[in-house]
Amino acid sequence: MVRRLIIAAVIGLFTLFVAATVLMAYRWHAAHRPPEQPIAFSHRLHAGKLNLQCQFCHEYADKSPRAGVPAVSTCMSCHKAVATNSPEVQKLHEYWENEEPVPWNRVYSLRVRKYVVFAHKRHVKADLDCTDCHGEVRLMDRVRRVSSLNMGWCVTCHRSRSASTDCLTCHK
Amino acid sequence: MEFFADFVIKPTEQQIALHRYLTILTLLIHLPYAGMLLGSSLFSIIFGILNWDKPNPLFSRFSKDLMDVVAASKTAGLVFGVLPLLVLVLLNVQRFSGSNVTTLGYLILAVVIIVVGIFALYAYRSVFHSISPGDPEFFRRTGIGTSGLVILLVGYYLLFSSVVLLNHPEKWAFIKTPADLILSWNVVWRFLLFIVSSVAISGAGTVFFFFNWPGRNIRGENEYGRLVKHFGASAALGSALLIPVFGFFFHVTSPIVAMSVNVYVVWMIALLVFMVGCILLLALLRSAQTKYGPPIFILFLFAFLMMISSDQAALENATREHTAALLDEAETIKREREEARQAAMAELEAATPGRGKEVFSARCVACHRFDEKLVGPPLLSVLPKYKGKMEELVSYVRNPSKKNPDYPPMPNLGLSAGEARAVASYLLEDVTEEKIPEEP
Ligand code: HEC
Ligand code: HEC
Ligand code: HEC
Ligand code: HEC
Ligand code: HEC
Ligand code: HEC
Repeated sequence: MVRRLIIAAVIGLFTLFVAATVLMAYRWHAAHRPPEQPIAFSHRLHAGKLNLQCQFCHEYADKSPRAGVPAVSTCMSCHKAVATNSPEVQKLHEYWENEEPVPWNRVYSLRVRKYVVFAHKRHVKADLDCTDCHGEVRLMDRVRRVSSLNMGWCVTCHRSRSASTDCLTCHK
Repeated sequence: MEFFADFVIKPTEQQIALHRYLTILTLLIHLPYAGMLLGSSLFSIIFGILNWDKPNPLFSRFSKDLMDVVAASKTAGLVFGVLPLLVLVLLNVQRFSGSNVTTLGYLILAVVIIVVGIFALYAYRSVFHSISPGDPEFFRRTGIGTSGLVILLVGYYLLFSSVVLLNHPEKWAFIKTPADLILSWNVVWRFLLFIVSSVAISGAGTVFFFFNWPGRNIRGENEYGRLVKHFGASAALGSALLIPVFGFFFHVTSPIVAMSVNVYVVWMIALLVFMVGCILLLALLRSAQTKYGPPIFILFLFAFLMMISSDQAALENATREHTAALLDEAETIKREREEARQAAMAELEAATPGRGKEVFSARCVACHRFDEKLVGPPLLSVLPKYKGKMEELVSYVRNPSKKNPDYPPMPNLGLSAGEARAVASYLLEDVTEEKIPEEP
């Protein structure tokens, strides 16, 4: 009897943690996996091999709180003529003809934007590189998240660069 | 780590692939050995102390036998202990030099410390043999053993913190002092996980090597046998039960960039295998037999290897961009080298006497004569315009474009750079000199 109980307890313990791992894997898959994008756009090609400047597409990064994703017309400045028979670029043409924005899926977003103040402008103007927060985007085919975006992350950097760590800097 | 960058040859594509396999291979060789050494020395020291407290010949014998099992041969120490670590350092220097990770310095420091620890534990083992295990020597023996163990632990803590840092590209910019590196929950959990799994595999190994290893079977000795079996199995069981708990916290504190479904799945397999091992351990503890020794040890070893693979997969994920950068660099170098080689070949081929004529009669005569129109124009009529423009002719022949509306286009014949250069120099130098009169 005791022996059975012990065996059951051992199995229960391991099963519990296997289940926890399944949950972690599921959460990762649902929330942190690099999202599928409607068009297979590659930063490695455009920002890496073609060496386009980040701000050519994310034109608001140093001007406003949001970096913004490029309008279809930015893409079309080249893709009216370039690679027009690729099926991926044809999808782009469809959005262009229907005058719709491409529904890109967000990779980076603060969960509680409501009471956190974050502005690209201040950071980009302070000579931080995009890679400090977004990793080597130039080498990514599909953008993936490299930083946690949690408070500890913001504060660690603020401390190391002697920026303000006052609560009211980031919380209003 | 600019310091290293000067010494290191940039890896090629094949080397990067090879590097991955070698890294995982060295870890698979080294870590189980390290775990056994760590766990068994711990057991041995504990029994040494128990024996000193309450002298018991079985305890002192067990204390000695444990070290004889795990530190039996110096060759094994070198092959499983020291050598893989040196290989690991070389591999990582090649892979991570030039990136702004300060971790390489820590890695090297860690390896030096670990090697010192391994030597100390071998010294601990030989003290058992050089002197009688009488109590006057207790302090010297235990002193060497304990300091070896502590040095080894410090070394692995440092090793893990440098590996964990590689897993956190997000932190690379912020590491300023060693304290930033060492004080991280992720390192703490990983280290605890390593210790409990080391104890687990040493416990399972104790049963296996004392009862099922040829030449060391103590099955006949009832009292000693019972002590070894019960201690080994209980230590293995107790610590294996902690593995899922520490592993859970380790994964919760791991960075998202290092994660992928594979990492979790391999970890789950490891857990399930540990579970089966634990159930067998329970059976072993209850029965008078020891036939479960080998399967338990093999299961634990397998699960241990799975844990290492899961970690290595996480490292691969975290450093994906770093690898991509290396691959790009390797590709550029390869392309440049290939171009240089082709150019050199072309020079060489063009310089071979008769080669140009050979190519001409093999590849061009089908469509060209010198002075009559065939598929293409008579060459003597078109060559004058290429006079002194060797490069232009070479590039035309390698990649023809539309020229004269009276003729169909000339196809791309797929000549190599060398063939094109040879035929062009034949046409421009030999033929033109002979057959085309100097322009008035
Ligand atoms: C040719 C235009 C172009 C260039 C150049 C470009 N990007 Fe992007 N970027 C995009 C588009 C389109 C998206 C949305 C689709 C996606 O996530 O892949 C995007 C998405 C991103 C995202 C994820 C945003 C989110 O949360 O969804 C980041 C981060 C990013 N870019 C950073 C950079 C950086 C850093 C550079 C410079 C190295 C750069 N980009 C250069 C077009 C560009
Ligand atoms: C500066 C010019 C330029 C801009 C701006 C640009 N692209 Fe491109 N894009 C290219 C070039 C050049 C290629 C490579 C074509 C090739 O490989 O033949 C390419 C390739 C692609 C491809 C892959 C085509 C294939 O299947 O090989 C996609 C998809 C694409 N671009 C989408 C976009 C999107 C979406 C945007 C807007 C965010 C964009 N591009 C902006 C120049 C540009
Ligand atoms: C200080 C860190 C930091 C730096 C530097 C930084 N970003 Fe961001 N980025 C963020 C954070 C945080 C978010 C999420 C913002 C949100 O959810 O509102 C983000 C979001 C984005 C997005 C998603 C769309 C948006 O505007 O929210 C893009 C695109 C982007 N960044 C591009 C860039 C580019 C390009 C650069 C370099 C010019 C850059 N970022 C520099 C932290 C940074
Ligand atoms: C890579 C380093 C880094 C990270 C990460 C970072 N910051 Fe900053 N941040 C800075 C620096 C440097 C400044 C100072 C800019 C200046 O002096 O104008 C700053 C300034 C700011 C300011 C304006 C401060 C003021 O004085 O008005 C706000 C708000 C802010 N950060 C919010 C955030 C939030 C929210 C996050 C996390 C989502 C974050 N930061 C992450 C480096 C960083
Ligand atoms: C550099 C920017 C920054 C500073 C300074 C800062 N925070 Fe935050 N804080 C954040 C961000 C970003 C989040 C959102 C975290 C998330 O989404 O996980 C946050 C979240 C929080 C939350 C909610 C936590 C949760 O899990 O929802 C609390 C509470 C909080 N902060 C309190 C404070 C207090 C108190 C201080 C002053 C000691 C402070 N913060 C200073 C950036 C900051
Ligand atoms: C399949 C038939 C064919 C073969 C084989 C061929 N050519 Fe031609 N070549 C042509 C034709 C057709 C033209 C006329 C193209 C035009 O005017 O657009 C031509 C044109 C030329 C011209 C004149 C280009 C000009 O600027 O007007 C040169 C020089 C020439 N060929 C050299 C060569 C050499 C050297 C070879 C052997 C390596 C070769 N061709 C093999 C069909 C051929």
